[in-house]
Amino acid sequence: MGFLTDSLVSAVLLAISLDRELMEIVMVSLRVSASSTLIASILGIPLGIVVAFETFPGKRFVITILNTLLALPTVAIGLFVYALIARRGIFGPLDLLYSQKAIIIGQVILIIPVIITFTIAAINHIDDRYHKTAMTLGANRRQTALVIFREARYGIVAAVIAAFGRVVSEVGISMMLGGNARGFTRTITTAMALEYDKGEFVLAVALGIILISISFGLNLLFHLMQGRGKK
Amino acid sequence: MIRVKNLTIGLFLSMFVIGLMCTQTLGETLKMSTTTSTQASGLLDVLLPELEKDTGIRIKVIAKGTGAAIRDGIDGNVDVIFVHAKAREEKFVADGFGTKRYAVMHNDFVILGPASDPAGIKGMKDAATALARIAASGSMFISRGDDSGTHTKEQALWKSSGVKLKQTTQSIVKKGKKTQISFFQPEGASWYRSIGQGMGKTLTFADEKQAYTLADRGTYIKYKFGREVPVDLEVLSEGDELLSNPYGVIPINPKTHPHVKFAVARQFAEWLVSKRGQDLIGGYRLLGKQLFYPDAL
Amino acid sequence: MMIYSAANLVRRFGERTVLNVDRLEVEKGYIYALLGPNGSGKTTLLNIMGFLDQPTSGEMRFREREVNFQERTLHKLRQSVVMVQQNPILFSTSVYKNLEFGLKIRNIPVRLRQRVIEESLDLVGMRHLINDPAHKLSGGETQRVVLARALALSPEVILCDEPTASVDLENQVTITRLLKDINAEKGITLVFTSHDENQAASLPHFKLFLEQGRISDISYENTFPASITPLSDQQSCCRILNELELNIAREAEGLCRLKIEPCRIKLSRLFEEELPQNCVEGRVQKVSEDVRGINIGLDCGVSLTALISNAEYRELNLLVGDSVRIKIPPEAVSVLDYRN
Repeated sequence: MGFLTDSLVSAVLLAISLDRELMEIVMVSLRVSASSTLIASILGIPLGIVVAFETFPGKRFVITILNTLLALPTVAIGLFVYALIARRGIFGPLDLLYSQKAIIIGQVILIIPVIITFTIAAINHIDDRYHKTAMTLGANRRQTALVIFREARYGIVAAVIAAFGRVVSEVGISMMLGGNARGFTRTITTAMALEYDKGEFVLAVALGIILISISFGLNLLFHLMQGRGKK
Repeated sequence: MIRVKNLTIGLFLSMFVIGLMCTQTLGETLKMSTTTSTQASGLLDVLLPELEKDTGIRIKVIAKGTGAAIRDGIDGNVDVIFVHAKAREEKFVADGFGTKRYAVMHNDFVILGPASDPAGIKGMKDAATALARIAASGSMFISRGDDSGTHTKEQALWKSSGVKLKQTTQSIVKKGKKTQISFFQPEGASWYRSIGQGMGKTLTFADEKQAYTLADRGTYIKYKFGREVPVDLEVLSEGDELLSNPYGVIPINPKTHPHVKFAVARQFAEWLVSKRGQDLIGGYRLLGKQLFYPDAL
Repeated sequence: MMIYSAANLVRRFGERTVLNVDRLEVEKGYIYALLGPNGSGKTTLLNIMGFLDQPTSGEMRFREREVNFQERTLHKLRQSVVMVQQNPILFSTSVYKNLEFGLKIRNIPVRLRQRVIEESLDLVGMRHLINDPAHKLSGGETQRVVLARALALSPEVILCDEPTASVDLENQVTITRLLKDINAEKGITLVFTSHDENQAASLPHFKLFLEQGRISDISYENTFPASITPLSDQQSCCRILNELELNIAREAEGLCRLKIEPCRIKLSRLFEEELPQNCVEGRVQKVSEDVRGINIGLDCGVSLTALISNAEYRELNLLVGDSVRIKIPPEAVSVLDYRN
């Protein structure tokens, strides 16, 4: 138990002293995760809307594939992207490997299925009556889709938050594509893996506590926002 | 109910005892923490079967970074540690976690870099000056940064290179007491990448970035000559006294951790420094190259 | 002018035919009730009339123009017809924005929108909720705001699916009155559905009965399953739900559905010792007025509706809860169809 209290006290100590090293790691994590979530959202939400509203041959197959991709292991994505952007890969000349950009590319691939499927689910969750109401009030297809999108907004925000939670906590992609370079691509999770390897469990757990706090804060924020929407 | 419970407990106990007896009859098994680079060198694959033939001792190898390996010793998770960070090993013994450090062997570190050698250090014997050159040229340098033996060595080299260093200190609490963890690295250097990973990963990182790095020769030989796609890095500086990398084996102190198999661990350590063990070490060849030099003869 | 006229309208969902209407005519400016039990195809027909669904086959004319069921045409036609769904929803924004939605789509200038919205809310008595978030409204308030949202668009036709089914009694009365006013003051054609003929009975000018997807002129009120057994050469005995036993003119033996004509039922307050043939006692449950006379809802083991003239009603002086003698003469009973 002493070990856990040590970790807890250390986490608080590091957090309140705004330890530079720690802040740098947290900032890298947040910047990279926010960027990949933003890019994945910009791509994924419209795609989700299209898949949800349009009927096309093979739609169910597409959804099955997307659901399968939800379970894609991060190391598989890491390996795949690594092969593409390594010095000897097709995109080698761009010198992307072991940069924040590389992590972002991998993470976008990781969470695009999350955002698309959650968006589809959020839209499908909206009662058919909203659809009919918009139509009977004279809305065309685009305007109707907009109404449904607006009604599904909390579900879609939940998708974005879930996606962020996924990237901020993943380690495979960050480690393989970022390389854990201190001050450049060292994220909370890769730092935790490193501190574990070094035998500095206290610091590893302290970082873990900070990671959990971030996730908790984020969910709290979402919860409050949702509560305000419902009042 | 009680009878059934007693019966179950009895059954478990007897199975446990039988299990213990089996391991006894098959010879002793030791748990040993070592570093990933030691395991990666392939030396253990030659040594351990011979050890079993000679003494019946079997070794369960747990490979980690030097820090974690020593930590395993501190926590009493293993019976013996086999690492290469002399100063820390001596502190480990001084702190009472180990009984004695047996100097087993050494190999050496090399400074690697791309064939183009932008810092112009090829052929330099003075490792510290070579590092200073790299710093001055602003060429990328990859540091393991994982608190490993290699990382410890690298920090020592930077200290003697005269490059201005920055100390990063983190305060954490261990066993209720505030302690500090410090690192040294060149100050304000955007060319310095501390990646906190193992030797192999560091080599591929340096290869990808065509950067300089410090590596142990064994891992380098494996990545240079033992792979289908060899790393595109050359040995640019070698032979400095400072680049020597001594290995030590330390049985865990039974006074600190009474459950360890001290007698067997000592037997293992003594076998390593015996003529038989030392000959095996000196005769080991990795891809035709000698890797380790016995220190005990 | 006929605002709707349809012929051979069929709607199938897979194998199942849910609507099969030979002829349907709706005249501009009147209130139509579309009556029938649940699952009789009312909502399907309303969806087609609201251009939200397309018939599998058949023809429909709207404002005496043939409707081709292409999305572009339908979208245009929807501008003049608004459907109010059963358990209608408001968008999760303010009441004002809800009413503004259709106006915005129609490119009504902002200042005019404001006026129209306020007027429409005034009409349903919900002006005070104009800035409230829509999801905080009660069921009755929602129903009224939804009506205002339809009204704001000044449509030619408003279609209401079960407008009074899911609100309390007080709101039922209010909504019925509102629908009447909307029709009277704005001349908007109104088609509403109900599974309960007695609800809003005074509202419609015309009643259409839907049964298993078909329109019939037969009201399903006083329609019962019955078994017929022969009594003599001239007479049969029919047993209704094990509650009523009536002598009727000779009919074939078997299980059937029969109807008791409301206007042929005789009510009296005379009580004799012996109950004569084809007479039962019952209680008055409900009294309502429509264009034909006074409807008396009766409970005599089964629910029965009798239709009497205003004069008879005054003479009998019936109050809810009173006991009456109900005479169902053989000529009031007609067999609709047999099972199998």
